[in-house]
Amino acid sequence: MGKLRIWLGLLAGFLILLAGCARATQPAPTATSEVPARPTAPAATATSQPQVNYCVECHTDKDRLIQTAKPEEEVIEESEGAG
Amino acid sequence: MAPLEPWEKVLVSASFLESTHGQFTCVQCHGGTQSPDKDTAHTNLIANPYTDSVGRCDRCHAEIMATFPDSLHASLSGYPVAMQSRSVPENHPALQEAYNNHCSKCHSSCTDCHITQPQHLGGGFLDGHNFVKTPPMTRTCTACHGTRVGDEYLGKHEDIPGDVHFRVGRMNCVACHSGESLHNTPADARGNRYWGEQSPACTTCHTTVGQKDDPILQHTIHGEKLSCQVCHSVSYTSCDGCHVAISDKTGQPFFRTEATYLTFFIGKNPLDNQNRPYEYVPLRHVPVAPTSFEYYGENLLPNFDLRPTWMYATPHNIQRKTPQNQSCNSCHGNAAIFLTADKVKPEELNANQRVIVEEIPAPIPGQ
Repeated sequence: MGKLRIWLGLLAGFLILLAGCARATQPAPTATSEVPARPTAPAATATSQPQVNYCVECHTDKDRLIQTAKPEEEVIEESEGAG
Repeated sequence: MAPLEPWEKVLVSASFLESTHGQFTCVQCHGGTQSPDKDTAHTNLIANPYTDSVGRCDRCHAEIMATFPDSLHASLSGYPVAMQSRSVPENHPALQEAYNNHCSKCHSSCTDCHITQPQHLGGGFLDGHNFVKTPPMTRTCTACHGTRVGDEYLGKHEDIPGDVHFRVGRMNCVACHSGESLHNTPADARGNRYWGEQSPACTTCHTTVGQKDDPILQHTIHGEKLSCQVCHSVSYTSCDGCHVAISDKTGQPFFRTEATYLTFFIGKNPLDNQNRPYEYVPLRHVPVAPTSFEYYGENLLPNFDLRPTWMYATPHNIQRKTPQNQSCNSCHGNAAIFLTADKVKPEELNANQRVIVEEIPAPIPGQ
């Protein structure tokens, strides 16, 4: 009886391991494209912002933008009169 | 308004990040890459996502985006129609090049009205990247439509009051020009804004004009013979002789307009359009000349005379009382306010034959 319990326990453990392996062999979720395809749902859903959003970090920082903004080239206006 | 500083043009406000549009990732609309390095982050950046709009604006605003590309604001199709109607097919490629260099930058996109100032004014956020549902009049609408509409409407000409709808009604552009009409140009008006149904129409608000219960006799007498602006607009801007070229010094396109001046001339209606059946309308001189595009080739407008240079106009400086509606004979018999042949340049007489008033309406006896 004791041996049977041991064998049953081993069998259960094996099955659990097997189940874990099976899950691991399923295809991993692929990263979604940054520009999703046209949605089929009535409305597009926004995705959450990345954990470190470098774009926002910079573009909400006035001092940093002042430091990094390229000076605009002076445009020589050659047009004359009302447009 | 003063031009924005370079940093100011791209400073995103905290409130944008809380808004509906702020829930999308930056890269979803603008491309580029998430990177702390500016150059890497900006590689393949789409500054104006409308230019590649599929999957962006249309994802949620499909109804608007279904019509907007064909609207006059987006297509500017009135320009090529006007150019080609004075030309011949073999000249179209040269005119197209001129159009691409000098006219097409006036094209407006979703972002040009709802997020930024127009690009030809240097761009820059209207409100920290927040989407502004109703574009601010002077930073968007009259920033482009300035010389004629804006200056007239806001009363920027000395001694000429602004439009009563602005002065008294404090109405902005969209009070009359609905979002629907700005996003959607009916098919029959895509070659010219005056070809389709009148929209807006004065009578949408002024419902009693010309009706049985209209207390103003002159409305009933004149009926549809005169457009509203004949009696209710005052002097407006006309321009002469716009010429375009590419600068030898900078390689940039430029234009030169020979003259800009104020006029008020009533002429024959150049439009054959049942929606605008008037016999008389105010006419504005448009800045075209036979040699406007000569930089791009000789005689590119050989059919110059097929289209008037004095064109149907709807001046945006409406007044209840005007010099010409003071009395019957302020207009009747007053040759000074009619476009007669002597007021047209000799070289443009043929082009304007059908709008020139040959016989001034006779004075009303006893008035």
